[in-house]
Amino acid sequence: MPVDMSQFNETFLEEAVENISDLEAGLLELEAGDQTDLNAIFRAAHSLKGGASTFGFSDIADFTHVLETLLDKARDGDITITSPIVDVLLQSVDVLNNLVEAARGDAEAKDYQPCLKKLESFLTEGDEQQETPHTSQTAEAETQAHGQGHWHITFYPKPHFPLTGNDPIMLLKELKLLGECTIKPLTDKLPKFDELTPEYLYLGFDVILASDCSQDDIDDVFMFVEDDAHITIKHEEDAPTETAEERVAEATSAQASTAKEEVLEAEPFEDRRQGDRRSTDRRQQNTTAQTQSGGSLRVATEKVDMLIDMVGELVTTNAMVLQASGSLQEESTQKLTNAINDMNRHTRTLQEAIMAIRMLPISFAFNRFPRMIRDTAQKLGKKVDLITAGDQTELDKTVIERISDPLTHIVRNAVDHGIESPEDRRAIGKPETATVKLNAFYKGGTVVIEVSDDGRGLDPEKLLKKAIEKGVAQPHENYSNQDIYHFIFEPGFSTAQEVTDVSGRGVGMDIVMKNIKALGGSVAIETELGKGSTFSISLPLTLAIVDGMAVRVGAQTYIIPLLSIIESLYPTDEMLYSVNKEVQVLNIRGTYIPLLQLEKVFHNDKSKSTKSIKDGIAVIVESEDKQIALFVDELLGERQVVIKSVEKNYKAIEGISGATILGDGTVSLILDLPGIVQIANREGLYNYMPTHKKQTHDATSLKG
Amino acid sequence: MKQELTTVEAQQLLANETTQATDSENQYLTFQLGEEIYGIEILKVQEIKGWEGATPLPNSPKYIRGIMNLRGAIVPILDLRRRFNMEEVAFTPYTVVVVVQVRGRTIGMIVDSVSDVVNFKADAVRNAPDFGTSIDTAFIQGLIPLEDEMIILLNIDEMLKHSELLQIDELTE
Repeated sequence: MPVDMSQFNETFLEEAVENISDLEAGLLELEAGDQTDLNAIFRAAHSLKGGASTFGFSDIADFTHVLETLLDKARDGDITITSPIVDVLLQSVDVLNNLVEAARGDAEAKDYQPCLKKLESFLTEGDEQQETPHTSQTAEAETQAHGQGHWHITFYPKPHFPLTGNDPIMLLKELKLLGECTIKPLTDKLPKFDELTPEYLYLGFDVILASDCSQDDIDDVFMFVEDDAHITIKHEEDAPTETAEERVAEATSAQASTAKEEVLEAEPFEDRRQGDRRSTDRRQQNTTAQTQSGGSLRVATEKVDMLIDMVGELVTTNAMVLQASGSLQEESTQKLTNAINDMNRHTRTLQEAIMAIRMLPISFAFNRFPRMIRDTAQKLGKKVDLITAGDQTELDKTVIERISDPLTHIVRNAVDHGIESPEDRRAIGKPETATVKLNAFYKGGTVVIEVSDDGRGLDPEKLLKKAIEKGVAQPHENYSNQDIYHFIFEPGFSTAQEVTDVSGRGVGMDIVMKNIKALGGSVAIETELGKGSTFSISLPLTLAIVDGMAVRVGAQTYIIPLLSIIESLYPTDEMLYSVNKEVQVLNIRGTYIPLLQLEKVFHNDKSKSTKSIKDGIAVIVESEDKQIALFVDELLGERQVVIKSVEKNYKAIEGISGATILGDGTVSLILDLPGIVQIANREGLYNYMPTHKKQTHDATSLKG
Repeated sequence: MKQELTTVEAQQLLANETTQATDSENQYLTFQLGEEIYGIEILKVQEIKGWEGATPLPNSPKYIRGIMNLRGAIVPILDLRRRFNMEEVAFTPYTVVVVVQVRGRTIGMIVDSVSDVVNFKADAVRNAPDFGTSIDTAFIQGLIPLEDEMIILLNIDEMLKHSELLQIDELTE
């Protein structure tokens, strides 16, 4: 019965991406001169090929086949890996990535023939190099030793074999590719009918393989099922007079004797459990690099998201119970209160544990940079070393996915614009090889990712000139250096002298800023002319939860993200100035901060504050280096809230980043301060104050 | 026909009736807005909730009452009277939120009251003439005569699409 394999395509493609990236990482290590295990690289290619042919991606399979052959020869020492070979191998990684994207329908499949030809040319070269001595000495000797020999393979999949997603038929088919096979089923392990579990496989296979292939070739076939099967492989001389049937018959009887078998698994089959355990122990001792993954689980993101939603619900319900229990005063309710407190603690722990499922190490984003820097530097004729630190810093999968592109852009810019050519570097006494450093670490409730280079640094004068030229800055304004550095994030601003194909089209940095802001992050720039620059990107750990201050404005409760709050104060008459009817500012220790009323920004009567300005509270918040004061009636306290999307069922609303459900089941909006500033700016609700009084802030002055 | 059901009655009605549709017949949930009776395909109706208020959204059209919590999901609430420019009335105990599922989105609609679940053959639906109600004819899928009444079948997809478009228009005004 034909099985519809297409349902597994996505899984295969996901795996393919992982295999390709393993392949790439291995190749880069190889190039760096590290003594990498060629086997690991080969294995990545091998599983890619296997998957691709199983799922019918013939392009990927065919291409990988050639790649695999080359790697196989390299592994056997028939071909010496040289730098041109690594180049082509890396190119084939690109080809594979493209093919996978094309299989997803995300991209046009490019012509891979040129790359294939190059790979093949190395293959034939390798043959020429190595073939001569090989044939004359070893191969002939081998043929003599083996004679017209055949391989005798017995293959007993363990009963749970089908449940591991493997199909013995596939393996047998693969064996058939090696040479002529006579396959006979072995039924001696078949249990009594009433002891039979339908999902299990009790058959064994006896294979006589007439082929002059090597033991390695056969091992490769079974490479991934070694743990799930009992396999014996031995080489036997042909008895010329035997017919195939006789051969099988003899082989079957010979199976009982363990004479010259190469035993992989010798445990008695009946003693299954114990055997399994023992074999695992043994495997751990003598297996090579097979076991390297630290036990991970592939789970659909939706399932995790559902868990997160549910635990969010639980937190909410918990808060309701907690609130209700607050009114219980009697002593007899002491036990209940204790239980509720315990439940509260457990709920928090559960929530943290579940949130942790979504957390991935930042290395997922960092992994692409060695290759990218290598290519970019090569293209520009620069020499760049990459150092990464804090690879294991974990943050939310979504954050990692969405920061990858902006980060790539910043890194590419560092190599392209930041770093000087080797000649220039030598001339000013710097080492020719520049260094780009990626560093990730936790800071308060955020993750900071730093991209540093030891290049030429940003030149504020040059930047300002350019900014004025481009109309981004006003000629006679007084700008702080921080202000000037941030001009590079303005649309249409590019400092490159000429446009290169690496960067410098002037699009990008503004998109970078936009994407980072959309994640609730910010960028700070530190730079010293001639010494280098550091871009620090601060990001929230997760997009699912925010620490917020609940405030009441009129009949509404809003959540202000705690990280953006600088202080809260009671405004006095002396602080308050009216610029005009619409615009009021607060003078706070010499800094004029515009005072915003949410009711005006949101055009919502229900958020009209019930108090006069003197009785209310001003919450000073910072958004993109600008401070504003929000006028609120009451502070309701800090709380951690689960962010819910409004967009999912409706659309994005300017000025709010999401909603959350309060302890009483009602919905409260989470304020998006950059959005609010934008609305206010657009509607002239405050005039931006002259900059002379403005303090400059970098990420370090943020609360937290 | 013109009956007003309490939220609980309406919920029971929805729970009981959904299994009885036959091949040739379509089922519609009918509800009232002012003097008019409207019908929507029952397959689009997810549930019926009592009106418990909503959290208003900033800078949104008046007919978007806000958002509410539906077992942890944030659901926008459309006020159909306001959407169709009908005069506003005070909410009554019969005022309910009909929660619909349209193109993967969950949306609540405030109606005066839910009336019934009715079965009709597909050929009972008449084309809507271009008539002078306050409702855009694009929102009307057809009309079904019923005794001396008339059920206006709502094309929810179209109506919601236009509601989205209108918001964009309003923003540019």
